[in-house]
Amino acid sequence: MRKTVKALAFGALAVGVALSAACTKNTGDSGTNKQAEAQKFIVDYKGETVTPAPEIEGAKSGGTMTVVQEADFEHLDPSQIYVSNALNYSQLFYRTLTTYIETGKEGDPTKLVGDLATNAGETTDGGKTWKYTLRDGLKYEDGSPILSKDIAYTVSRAFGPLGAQGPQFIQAALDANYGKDGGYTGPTADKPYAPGISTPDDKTIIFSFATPHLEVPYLVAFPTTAPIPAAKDTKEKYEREFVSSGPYKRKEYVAGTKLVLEKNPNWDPKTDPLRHQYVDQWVFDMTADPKAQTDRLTAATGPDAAAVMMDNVPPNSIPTVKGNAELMKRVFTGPNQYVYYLNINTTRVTDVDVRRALNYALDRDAYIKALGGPDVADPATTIQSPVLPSYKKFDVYPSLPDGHGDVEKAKKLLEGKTVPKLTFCTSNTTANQNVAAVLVESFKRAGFEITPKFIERSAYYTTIGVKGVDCDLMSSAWGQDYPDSNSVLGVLMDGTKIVAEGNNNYSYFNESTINDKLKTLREMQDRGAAAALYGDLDEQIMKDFAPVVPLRYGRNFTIAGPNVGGTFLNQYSQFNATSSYVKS
Amino acid sequence: MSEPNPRGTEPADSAADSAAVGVLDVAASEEGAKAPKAIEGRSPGQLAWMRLRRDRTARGSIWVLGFFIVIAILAPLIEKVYGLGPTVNSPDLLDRSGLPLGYFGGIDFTTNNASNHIHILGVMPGTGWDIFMQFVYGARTSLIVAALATLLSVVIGVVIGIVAGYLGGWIDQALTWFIDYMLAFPFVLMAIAIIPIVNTYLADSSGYVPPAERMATIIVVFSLFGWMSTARLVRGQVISLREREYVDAARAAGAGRGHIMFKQILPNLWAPILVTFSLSLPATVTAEAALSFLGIGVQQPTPDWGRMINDSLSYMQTDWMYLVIPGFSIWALVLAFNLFGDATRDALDPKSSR
Repeated sequence: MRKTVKALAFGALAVGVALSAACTKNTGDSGTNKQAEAQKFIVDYKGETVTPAPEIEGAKSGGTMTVVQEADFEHLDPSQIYVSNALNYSQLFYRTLTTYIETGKEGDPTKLVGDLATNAGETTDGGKTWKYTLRDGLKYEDGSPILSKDIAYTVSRAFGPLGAQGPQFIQAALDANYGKDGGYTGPTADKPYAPGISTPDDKTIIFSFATPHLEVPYLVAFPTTAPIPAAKDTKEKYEREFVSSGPYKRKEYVAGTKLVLEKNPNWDPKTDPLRHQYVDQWVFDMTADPKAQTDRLTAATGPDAAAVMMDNVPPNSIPTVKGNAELMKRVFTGPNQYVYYLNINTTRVTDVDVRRALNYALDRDAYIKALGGPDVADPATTIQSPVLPSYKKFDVYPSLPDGHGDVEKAKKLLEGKTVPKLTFCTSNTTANQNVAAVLVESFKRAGFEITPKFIERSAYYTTIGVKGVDCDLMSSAWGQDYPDSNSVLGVLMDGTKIVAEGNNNYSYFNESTINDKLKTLREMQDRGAAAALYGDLDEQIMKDFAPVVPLRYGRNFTIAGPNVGGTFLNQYSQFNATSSYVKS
Repeated sequence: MSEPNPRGTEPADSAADSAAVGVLDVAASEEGAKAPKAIEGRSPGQLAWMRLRRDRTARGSIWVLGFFIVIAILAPLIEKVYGLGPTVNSPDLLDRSGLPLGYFGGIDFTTNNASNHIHILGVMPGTGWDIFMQFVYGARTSLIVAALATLLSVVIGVVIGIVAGYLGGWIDQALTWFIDYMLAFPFVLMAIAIIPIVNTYLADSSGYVPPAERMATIIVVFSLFGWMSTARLVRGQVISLREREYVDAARAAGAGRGHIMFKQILPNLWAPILVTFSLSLPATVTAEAALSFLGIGVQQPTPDWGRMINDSLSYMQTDWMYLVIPGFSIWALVLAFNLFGDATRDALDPKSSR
């Protein structure tokens, strides 16, 4: 019996300790995220941007900056880079024809400027030919000059298998047969350059197209135009043996573990409108998952004091981070470019009132809470992201003030109709399973009967991209490839682009009036004016056709070390590398 | 746990006991034949039940098991009485980040809250689903999978064991070799490898597997990899039984092999079979939870304890109550099954070592 008493006492003590540790009443917190402002955007066609880049206030030279990431970059070959983390950090060692300048200060516009080129591009025939002139004094890390033929070679190279994972826009624009029989497939002895590329001299490169392409200044900002000296192109090995044209060069690269960059002495700041060379060394530590990244940046000891994390804090760790006021000072938050949709397959759910009812019935509050709350996501009501210059704020299916949707309005729209049974496809992850169940329940309130279908993650987008897929509702996310709505509405809502498989228009939305408008907007020369019209078109699509239920705008929540200066979250949802410095 | 053994205080019954289950133990039966003290006629089953009832541990575990089985069977009725389904969203019970408001993960015995409903075990973070109803329906999933899988594997094991043990010769050798071969497979690893493959095969064009088929896959895989220990045990018993006089008698009377194996020998094996059954059930419960934990078990919206634990791990620092409930449920169910299995073995075969 004595033993029992002792055990009981210990048990009671343990329970007591546990209880007292958690015996705080959660009364919730309040406050809302600041609404993102539509970005101002300037394209510098005239070459007015100054070089070298203006000094960052308070910047210091020296030190080592660490980037903590979960795995190696998928690709560092310039023709293959398409993932945002590589797009961001490759700016340290690749220069491109044009580039974006952000300051991270509120109200400052994002600028698209010439990088290797003197300006964002010159066209005299409405976008059919684009001429780029290189700056003086451009050199590779070995001191040899960067010539226009190198850029022509790199762009041509991206037509072959070495460019298969990279962006495909410029290839498709230059060669109507790209990807088909008879299309250009990369440099050969008799066809060194892709059709439409010419280099009249060492400093000039001209792209000519069959139809107007006003998005070219954006397209040549991709690393597709980062020069590769043909003599040093090691093909598949170039992923690891790249030649730098930017302020840093490879010092050590252990694939999957560590990449160390050191200063490139042949980079001349006088030729560069964007980059700085404050930091002595960049170390990419590829061994920490998001949770471990969070823990390391929370402790921020040793070299981690000057470190940034590459991923976001996992939603479940956010409450712990928020409980630490000191740590919160180092947290960077803000909207990212991703918008998450519930696509309604318009070929199967043909009644627009049913689609509207779905928009009304969604309980966005429940949905956002299931994901981890407003630190992870903002409720979305538009197709375009708030970070786009063409964003227009509107809400054509307003929820009741409690944020749980408007079930009565949904029921009214469905009155007298037999509500179809719907299947909802989503990719099979633990988080998605919960979220899908919450969505199904929220639509149930209006009388929808929805069966969730979980599809293997690796096959998900391939499966729902097949025309005629037997899903009524599909979840998807989209982030623009360049800050112009031609890369959002022009991709997601253009019915003329629907093909047999590999679609991005998951609603299979095909309205001739909208298709025509998109074509007009695509060919408008004044992109600023086009942006405003894209905003109106977004509203019109949602109001008249409701092909999607916008679910959420993604948000970043990530941590930098206390010794990191000059950085901010840029358009790639990453810490801006080119302006960072190490404090003390 | 030093539970006093009630049988230890009853020497008077021990003789009768061993007679009752003497088929399991040659020495015991001989001893039993010496001093038959039977006053009133009791069947072996009655005797076992009597011993089971006197065992405090057994009584306790029966109550716990009964509780789980009853809530599993009556789940829809409980839902009606409780007035809340397992997957009703209650976002207003959560704070902005999706954590339950109030104390202990939203435990509330009053209806004075946003959902106007009691939540006796709190609500799930993120969704606001009632944990009590998840627990009730989760018991259903666990018990259905575990019971069917164990039953199937015991049936397979018994048939193979009897055939191997009785027929002997090359058949026995081949079957024993096969049993050893199957035992060499690490079970959980095989399940992880096989279940996704089977699911891919069952999937329709868009890669979807209906919940019922998903559950059936788990049950079949479990039974295909869980019968070996039963088969070995039964084979051993049969080898000792087949030399008995009553088997000889049946053979002399011209009974066929099938008759002898399944009509003569099998009825004398019920005791060890029952014990293996009740001891392998809890192993299946944990294995099922482990599979769901790893994400290849049943899927939403079918409630499941293993998946709940997986889900709750990430809330360990912020809402630990959510981890405690499914964890405690599995612990209690498995412990009760194990104790019950031990007690059954003791009751059916009091001479077995303890």
